[in-house]
Amino acid sequence: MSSRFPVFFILVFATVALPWGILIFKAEEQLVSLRPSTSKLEYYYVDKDGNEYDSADAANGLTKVSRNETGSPQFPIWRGGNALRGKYIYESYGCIQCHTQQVRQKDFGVDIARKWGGRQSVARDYLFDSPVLLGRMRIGPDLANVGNRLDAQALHKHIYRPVAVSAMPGYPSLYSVIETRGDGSHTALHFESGEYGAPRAGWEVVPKQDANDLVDYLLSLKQDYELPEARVVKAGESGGGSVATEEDEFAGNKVLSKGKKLYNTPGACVTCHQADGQGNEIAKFPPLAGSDWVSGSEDVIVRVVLNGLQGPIKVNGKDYGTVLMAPTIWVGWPDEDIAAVISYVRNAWGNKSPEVSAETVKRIRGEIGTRTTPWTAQELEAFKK
Amino acid sequence: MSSPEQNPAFESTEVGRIDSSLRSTGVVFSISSALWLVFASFTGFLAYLQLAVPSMLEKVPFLTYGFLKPVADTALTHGWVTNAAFALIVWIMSRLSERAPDFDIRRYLLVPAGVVYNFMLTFGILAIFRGEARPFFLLEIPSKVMLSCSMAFSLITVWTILDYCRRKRRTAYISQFYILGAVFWLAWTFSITHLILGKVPINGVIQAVTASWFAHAYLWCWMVPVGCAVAYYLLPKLTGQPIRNYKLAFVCFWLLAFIGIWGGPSALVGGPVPQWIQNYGVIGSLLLAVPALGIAMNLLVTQAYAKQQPLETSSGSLYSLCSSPSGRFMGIGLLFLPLFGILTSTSAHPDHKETFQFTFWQEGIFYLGVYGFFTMVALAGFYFMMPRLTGREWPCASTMKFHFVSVFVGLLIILLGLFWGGFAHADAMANLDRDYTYISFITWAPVLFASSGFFLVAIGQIAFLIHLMSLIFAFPHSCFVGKEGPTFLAPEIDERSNA
Repeated sequence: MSSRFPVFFILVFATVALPWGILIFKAEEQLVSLRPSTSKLEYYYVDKDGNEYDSADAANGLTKVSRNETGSPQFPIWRGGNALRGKYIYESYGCIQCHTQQVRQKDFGVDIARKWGGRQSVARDYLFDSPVLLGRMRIGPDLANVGNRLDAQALHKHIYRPVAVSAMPGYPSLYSVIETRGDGSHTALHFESGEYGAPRAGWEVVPKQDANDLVDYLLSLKQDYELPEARVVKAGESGGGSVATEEDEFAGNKVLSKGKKLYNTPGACVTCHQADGQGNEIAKFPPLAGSDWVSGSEDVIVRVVLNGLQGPIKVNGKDYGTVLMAPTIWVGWPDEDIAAVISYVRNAWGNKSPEVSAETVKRIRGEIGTRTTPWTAQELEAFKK
Repeated sequence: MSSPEQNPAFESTEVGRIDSSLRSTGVVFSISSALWLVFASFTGFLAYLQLAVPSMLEKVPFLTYGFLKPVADTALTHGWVTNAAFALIVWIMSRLSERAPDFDIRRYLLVPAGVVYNFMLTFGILAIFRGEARPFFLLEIPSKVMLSCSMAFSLITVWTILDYCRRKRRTAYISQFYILGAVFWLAWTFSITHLILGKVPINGVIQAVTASWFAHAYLWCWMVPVGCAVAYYLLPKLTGQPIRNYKLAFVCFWLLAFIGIWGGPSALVGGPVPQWIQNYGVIGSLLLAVPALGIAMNLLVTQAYAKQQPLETSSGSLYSLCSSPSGRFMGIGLLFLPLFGILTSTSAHPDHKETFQFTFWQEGIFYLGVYGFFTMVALAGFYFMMPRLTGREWPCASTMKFHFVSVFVGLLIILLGLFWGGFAHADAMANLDRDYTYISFITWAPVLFASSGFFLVAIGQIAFLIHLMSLIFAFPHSCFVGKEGPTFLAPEIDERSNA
């Protein structure tokens, strides 16, 4: 039994240095290059000297390299503002002691069967999280996709007063119960009379700033996008398969089907208004589905698309603040494309309005003239017939 | 021996001089560790009680489960385990280097280190109550607080090396190996992890990998080695038998050294980290059963051998599981080491993880290791060490019996509750016909059961704390009437007398 200290010291050092170097340093080396990504990867080929080729047959001895497809939207989305502050509330209230934020693979546990997520969580989903909140206990359900499952009202009610059988304590200190004055506070929780947790008549429950931020954070928990390494699992598939192509409901109409393609171009409308036309309430991107701005006069919508729109703006009665929409990649699109995408928006997601022709777009371009600044809501009121 | 006066005969021996020179260090670390254990058990009780009665303290948010659970775990590990380990390490190391200090460096290095450490830890616990907890298991205390704790670790590491280097005999004892290894492992993993999580801007899942790595290393490269050092040192003294296979003890040390630190990422099986990291973690955890069983077998065989051939002394059989307070705790604690190894190892298997990950089952394994193995062995060490440091007998035999019974029964109740709860939890989670709140319903009884176990442990620990205080400060009371003191043993047997 060697008692020589240097030998002992070197061996003990090795017991720490090996796992350190292999587990943590190598993991960091592998994952540090992860960047936000669109849902596809591009491949290109390089030779020994570092020259890039588009095809494998261009030269001998090429190595295949992948890079993120350029464009947008890129995921995961950086979390800021109230949602970021809500994350601190989540940490300090110890939510992580009972809730995980990770969906395991389809054939590993019941995570996907319990509809906690459409796909497995991967390292890229947590790119911007510091500290990362994976969690190690599921006394309550997984929250990786809670923003898809519940709306703000349901979350507030659950935090204020969870259902009776739950092991979760309520956090009434995050809410004020105050007497209703006049029409009441517009942020007060909506309780049906006699609903569990409802305050007595004439009183209302108003979330404090911490509660609002926490709910904003919870609503931002969505892994509903696809990444190159993580596809949404469809029924009957095992593991992460490929994306099933969606049926094109406008297959018969050339203009609308072209408009749908343009709408979903990365960087175009879909970036903010989303593929389902619902917008993003947290980021204050207004919905297009059912919007009176979209379905109303074509003079309004064409102007908005061509020059952009500066808030404040109300859509369907909801305030979207001083949001700014500015034309980006569609600035140089021909009138036919602008017309197609507007026609698509006016006919998708239950909207039913006449299509817009390229001639109309041309006419309005002429009327706008050299103006490049975005319109305000008040200016546009004049064009609402 | 019932008088609170110090024993002058013991003081005059070389061992006695070493022991009495450690008095201040022993007092600081033993009292602080005992206080932390009371606090940890009580907060653990409150935390688990609230899973059963969640609305109990909802008007006081900082006393809800989300705050109390990290407080209880931090106090149990960084408070109790680390302080108790320091107390025992310093004593065993001084004893084994066989030199009374010429210049008492301990008083100037170790006492300040202990005071700083406990002060910072208290600060950290308050920070958790204020809502500054970090979301990593066993790393809940904010990094800026804990980095100053690693300075205390460094002081103790430096002292340990100094003490080892000035030892009288040139050969090494197995306990010294475990202690030297443990102080290195703790100081390194602790500082590295807190640097990464607190200072270096690393985002995303690497943080989770690092945190899981540390939590596993804390248990298997700090808590278990210190427990082993205490067991290897004390068992020959309690039984009068040398360690049965001294070579195996060294083999198992190096096995544990090279295997113990790998298993952390097994906590992330199925999660969003690269598959190869999970594989290292699973293999590291699966192999852990080998050194754990090796160490446990060596110690348990030594214990069994002593029962067959009891060493007769003037005061009767030297070793008895029932009559010696140290022997009682040691005998129970050693049984939990192989269990801890086997459960850690089996629960890392992906098939097992698929069902039991994220359930109370893993909490059960954690408490089995900390309360079952370490706490029992460390209390055995305290019962043996403290009379020698202070030169007085334990004042009350019935308090010791009460302490043992309440801690042991409480431990069994905690484990029963959590493993039962783990089964129910896993079963309910896999049952897709049931809503998720069914889990709260089905684990209600087990969790309530476990919380009563924590309460029992807390009560026993309060008795121990009072007893310890009355020993250290020589409170003039005694319930030993006409009985011989239980811990002073005339001849102390070396751990490798025939090696």
